[in-house]
Amino acid sequence: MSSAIVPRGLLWRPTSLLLFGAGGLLLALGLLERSPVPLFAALPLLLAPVAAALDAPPSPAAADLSWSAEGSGPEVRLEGTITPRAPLRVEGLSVRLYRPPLLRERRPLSVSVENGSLRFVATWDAPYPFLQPVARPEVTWTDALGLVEVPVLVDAPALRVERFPPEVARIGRVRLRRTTPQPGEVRSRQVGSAGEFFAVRPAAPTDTPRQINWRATARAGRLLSNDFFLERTGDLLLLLDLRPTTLGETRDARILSIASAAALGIATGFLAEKARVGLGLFGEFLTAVPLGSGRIQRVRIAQALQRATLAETPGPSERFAVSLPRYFPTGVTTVLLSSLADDDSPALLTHLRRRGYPTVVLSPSPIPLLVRESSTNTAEDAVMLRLLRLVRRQRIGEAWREAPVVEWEEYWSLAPFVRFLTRPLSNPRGAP
Amino acid sequence: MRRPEPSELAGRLAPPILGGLALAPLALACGGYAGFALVLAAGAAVANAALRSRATSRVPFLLALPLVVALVADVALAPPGLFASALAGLAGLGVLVAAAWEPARPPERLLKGAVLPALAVAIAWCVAYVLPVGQGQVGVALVLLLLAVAGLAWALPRGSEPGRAPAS
Repeated sequence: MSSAIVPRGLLWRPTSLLLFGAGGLLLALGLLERSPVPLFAALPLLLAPVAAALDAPPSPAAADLSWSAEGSGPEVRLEGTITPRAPLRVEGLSVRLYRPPLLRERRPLSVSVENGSLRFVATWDAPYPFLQPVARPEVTWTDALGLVEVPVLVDAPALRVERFPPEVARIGRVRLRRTTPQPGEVRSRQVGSAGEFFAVRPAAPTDTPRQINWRATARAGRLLSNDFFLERTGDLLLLLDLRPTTLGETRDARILSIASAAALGIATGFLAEKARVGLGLFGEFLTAVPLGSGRIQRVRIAQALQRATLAETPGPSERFAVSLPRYFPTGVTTVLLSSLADDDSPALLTHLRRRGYPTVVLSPSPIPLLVRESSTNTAEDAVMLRLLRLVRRQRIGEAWREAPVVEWEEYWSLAPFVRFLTRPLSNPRGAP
Repeated sequence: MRRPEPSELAGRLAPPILGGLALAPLALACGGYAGFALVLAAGAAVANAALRSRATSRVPFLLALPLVVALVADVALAPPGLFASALAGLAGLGVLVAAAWEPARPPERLLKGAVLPALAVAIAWCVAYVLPVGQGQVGVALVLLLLAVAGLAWALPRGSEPGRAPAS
């Protein structure tokens, strides 16, 4: 078969190979028996795949994809439109979407044809906060009988889906420690509606009455507004403990997913308030994103969190604390995200305190994961759960000797953490 | 275990019923072997239904294997003749549609795909049996003409749709 007839990229599906095999067998049978009956039976089996191949669009088949992630909280809804480029037609196009493993399917993928485009909607459920990319869908053209297929080149980037607790939207209002020696010299160059006075300018329709400089307006005879230097609230260091624990690989991965989402949410909240945020990932060695501010810093942090995986070999806690001053100034407000699942987890807090990092621990509890895994609800399970809670409480009590710990059991809410940051009065170890 | 929806059940049962119905007339035309051929056809349909009733299959194309095997066996048992040839063509078409059947594919699209093979079978049968002896070349010419028209229709560039810019 010449390449002019069968375009490159055309794939025979296994059904057509089965039909070719059966057709060939019937053809041989007809010739052996010298009977036309097998030939008549062979004709449709041999002709259909060839006809399907002739109907295939010429290569390269391409389509444009526009898609977005919608929904809020646990609901993740992906909506997209695939518009085929001529001469590819929408008839015969099929779409396959790869669901990230931790998400569950709420409704099957819905596909419909609208105005010459293929529209798809996938609805998934996120059992807990997460941060993951969704690969672009695989689009193929298939003939009417499903005997041949042509992969369609889709020009679109992967989609990054983030879900974190809603409280992070107001977490940035928390006042953080400044780690620069002269706080008066760390003004942001950003100009905004609050902070230290900068200049008077003509009012814009979006200005609020509080922003209008009424005295200047009366003198000039036209509306004038005040501009201010936006103040940076301080510096924040987020640390993620990527060392494997006794919980096992699967549960550690889930805890890491939750912690990554929380870290990105917290970073987003503070970066929106012009704070500087840094990130430290510690597995066997330290991976750092130095302190920075702005949208690009958010992208850096998101990419680092997306790449974060559990370490195969755990690094010693002291190494972690020793490595930190190379990237981050001491005294910076530090939030450590760790499950504290091992007995030696508090040792890390000791080292951080000795190196001069005032730390708050946000600890995602593994107990809700264990409860979800258990399908039965017997009396023994209830006793086991109580024992687990007692052990957990004891471990957190030990950690409290070194640093304040916020237990995080309800994954879709960071309210206890926000409450702690806004009212850290009883903290004896120098938290913010 | 989840009970399948009625529409899902109908989608699973349609291919074996179609395959069985396509093979049964050919089996009946097998003369002395009709009983055996009929049992083969019924067994293939039942095997196909059993395979399809399973929720998942790692090799979906093998679901049609019983029907294909029964088709080959029935065709081998059928005596040469006018009706047997027509029935063999119809059985081949039926097995083709049953093999290509997928619940997600609309039936009208499936039938559209089967039009060309059906036409080919009809033309070939007409050429072989309906046209007078010695006039077979007329049928061959007709088939070649149809193929040439189909080839031209496929090879000629398609016009752009109204309201859409031509491809660069």
